[in-house]
Amino acid sequence: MFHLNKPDDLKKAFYAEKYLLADNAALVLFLAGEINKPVLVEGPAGAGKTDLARVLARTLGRRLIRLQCYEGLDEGKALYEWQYGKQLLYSQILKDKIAATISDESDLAEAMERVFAFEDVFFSERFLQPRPLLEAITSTEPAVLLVDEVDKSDPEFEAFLLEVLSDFTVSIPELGTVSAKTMPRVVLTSNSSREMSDALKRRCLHLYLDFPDRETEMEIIRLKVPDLGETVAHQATAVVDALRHMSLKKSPSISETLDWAAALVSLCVEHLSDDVLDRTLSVLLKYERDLAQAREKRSELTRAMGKA
Amino acid sequence: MHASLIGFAGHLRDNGIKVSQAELTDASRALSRLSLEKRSIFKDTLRATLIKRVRDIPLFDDLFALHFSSGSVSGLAETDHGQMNPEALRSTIGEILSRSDVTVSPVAEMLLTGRYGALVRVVTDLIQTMGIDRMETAPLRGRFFLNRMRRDLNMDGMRQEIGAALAEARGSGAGAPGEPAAVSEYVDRSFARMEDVLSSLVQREIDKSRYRALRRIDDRDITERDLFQLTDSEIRAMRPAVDRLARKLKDRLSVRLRHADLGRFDLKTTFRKNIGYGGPLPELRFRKKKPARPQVVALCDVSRSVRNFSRFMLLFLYTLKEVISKVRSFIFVGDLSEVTSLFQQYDVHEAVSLAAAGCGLRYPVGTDYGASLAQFAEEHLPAVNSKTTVIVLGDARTNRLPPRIEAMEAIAERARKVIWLNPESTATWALGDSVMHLYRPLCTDVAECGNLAQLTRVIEDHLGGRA
Ligand SMILES: Nc1ncnc2c1ncn2[C@@H]1O[C@H](COP(=O)(O)OP(=O)(O)OP(=O)(O)O)[C@@H](O)[C@H]1O
Ligand SMILES: [Mg+2]
Repeated sequence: MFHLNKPDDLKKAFYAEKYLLADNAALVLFLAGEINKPVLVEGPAGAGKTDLARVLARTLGRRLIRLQCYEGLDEGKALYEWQYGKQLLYSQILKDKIAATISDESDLAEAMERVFAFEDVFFSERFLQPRPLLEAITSTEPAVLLVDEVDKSDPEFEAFLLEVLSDFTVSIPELGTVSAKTMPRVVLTSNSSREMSDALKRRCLHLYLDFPDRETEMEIIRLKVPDLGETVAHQATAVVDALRHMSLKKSPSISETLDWAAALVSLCVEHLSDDVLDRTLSVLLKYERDLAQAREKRSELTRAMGKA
Repeated sequence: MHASLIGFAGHLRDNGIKVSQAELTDASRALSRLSLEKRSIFKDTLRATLIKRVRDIPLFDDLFALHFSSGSVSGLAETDHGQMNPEALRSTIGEILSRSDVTVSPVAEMLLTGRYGALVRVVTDLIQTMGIDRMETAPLRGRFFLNRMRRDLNMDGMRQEIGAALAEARGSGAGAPGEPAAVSEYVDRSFARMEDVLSSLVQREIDKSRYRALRRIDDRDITERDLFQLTDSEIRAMRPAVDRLARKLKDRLSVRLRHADLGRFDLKTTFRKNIGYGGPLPELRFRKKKPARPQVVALCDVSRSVRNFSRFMLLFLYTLKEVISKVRSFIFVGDLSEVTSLFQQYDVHEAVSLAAAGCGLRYPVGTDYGASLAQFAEEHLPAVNSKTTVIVLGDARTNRLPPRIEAMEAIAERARKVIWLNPESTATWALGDSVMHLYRPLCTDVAECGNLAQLTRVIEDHLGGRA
């Protein structure tokens, strides 16, 4: 349905979805489709990793299936779960049924057969609740599978994920082997809270999404907060850039820039003054310590605003 | 696959970046899907397929610039021929040479008739046979190599041969060699360009070797050296390796806890496992325990005798607190002081320097293990519980002061485990004033840990191996 033949086409399609795709990101996404590889996207929080996958799905006209990773996530929760509630209900109905069935039978062996036949139903797809990984594998329409914040998962889970990604086949003890009907596009994101294994990385193309430079961030503001005046936008990106050069506990990310931009619009700011900066700085910085440091170095920020 | 790609992969590997065959194949497949009209596309493709660690990106950028710099042999094709039409001139020269009695070196022929591919091969072969690409830092030998290369290619001889051939053609007047002036200018420019290319090739190899030399101060090489011998900047250079280790230790401690014991009763699995029984549920199931967050209490000797060891270990502890939320760090010499908040307030360099200098200690000289352990047991014992791993870092050389074994017993009794890392080799543990043999029976794990490689082994094998 969509023919995105070149990195440039991808860039345009992303732009239409209000996402400014960097050249190298467009190239990597394009190549991933061409040579059929998962993409591992690393970068600081709020650099646009999750959104990248979301917009990719939209531009390809595919469904997005998201697996959010966390410490303690295991195969079961990622793959499938038995709906034991339903199973329980079914077993109640079955109890009476079985009693009736067996009483009909004179032959013990045959009675057993019948019981087993009922039992098989317990572990059929009817009671299976697919979780994201199985959903992506069994999807009849090709999907985009987002494995979000994979660095939060445990090493054991990573090993399991690696297996799934290498042949898109999983085995469910009670049901047997399930193979992918269509190949999902896979995007993994990581905040680099730990290094992923070499084996996993070998299998992926790698994309490093850093914070954008000032020009690019201006563009993103124009896309997402078009009501912000040019002058203020210039000043705002200058401040954000200056803040990113301080050694803060948490540098402002694109989401914070956008929140700030929206706040400035709602305050009808046309020119950033020291006073406005002071009152709105907490939108950009989340830690008391960072705020204190930024206020201490206010002259640097004022200078940056002045130059813009 | 591109020969240049394989060469570049070798160059990456020389500099410590792992590149697998599979990744090379990916790179080559990816390149075949692209029109490489821009250099940046070529570069970004290699980066996405070959470089998988963020911290290797700057190194990749440097190496790419070195390897694919414009002084490459293929730059020959970019010779500026001014107003001339190189195609016509090439065929004219081809004619002259084929008719001439003068034997001209095949290399010169390649250069003048535009067979640059063949010429590139000759030159790269020569670089390899001469071993320029393997030379150790010897910038001064650049001229030497350049001269040898010119001599081996017989550059001056070639010039003379060509001159003779052209003169002969002019003399005989045969075959209308167009405008003689244009031909000889074309020859001049081609040779000048060739000279440029040769010298920039040699320069590039020199840059590469200088780079290799710089990179040799790399974590792989300092790993085997005793921590005692390392300089401050080398210890700081270990940061990435230390980072890796800290995360690994966290994984180790978490995994082990996870398998620890049974957790809550699990209705779901009990039901599933027992569904076959129809009625009662005889086989009870318990949910696996959630991975308990590991807790670490570290006691680090910062006395003179273990100076570099403790700097390194403090760096390790600083990093550890970034991956494990519950780390409390203490330093001691003659007494003991907590540095947990110091680690929170200062950046790594300052924090390690302050702690290593014994900041907060009342008796920063004369190590007294007994007094320090007793002080810990008295003031901080509640910090230790059944989830806590206590790590002691030091040489257990207690200046013949009483070891206060009972303090260590009290700690070990409460802790989940006690790990002692000693920078000295096991052979010296019972010699002199070392009381390692007295503390040892109270520890879950003791290990010699005098260099980075040993620490790695301790964390990877030792702690992972036993239950
Ligand atoms: N290049 C871009 N163009 C437009 N919007 C962007 C771009 N990059 C990021 N954003 C916006 O920034 C915000 C943060 O992005 P996102 O949530 O994808 O970040 P993330 O990298 O996944 O962060 P985290 O690590 O915290 O999950 C989103 O609102 C996103 O739309
Ligand atoms: Mg995200």
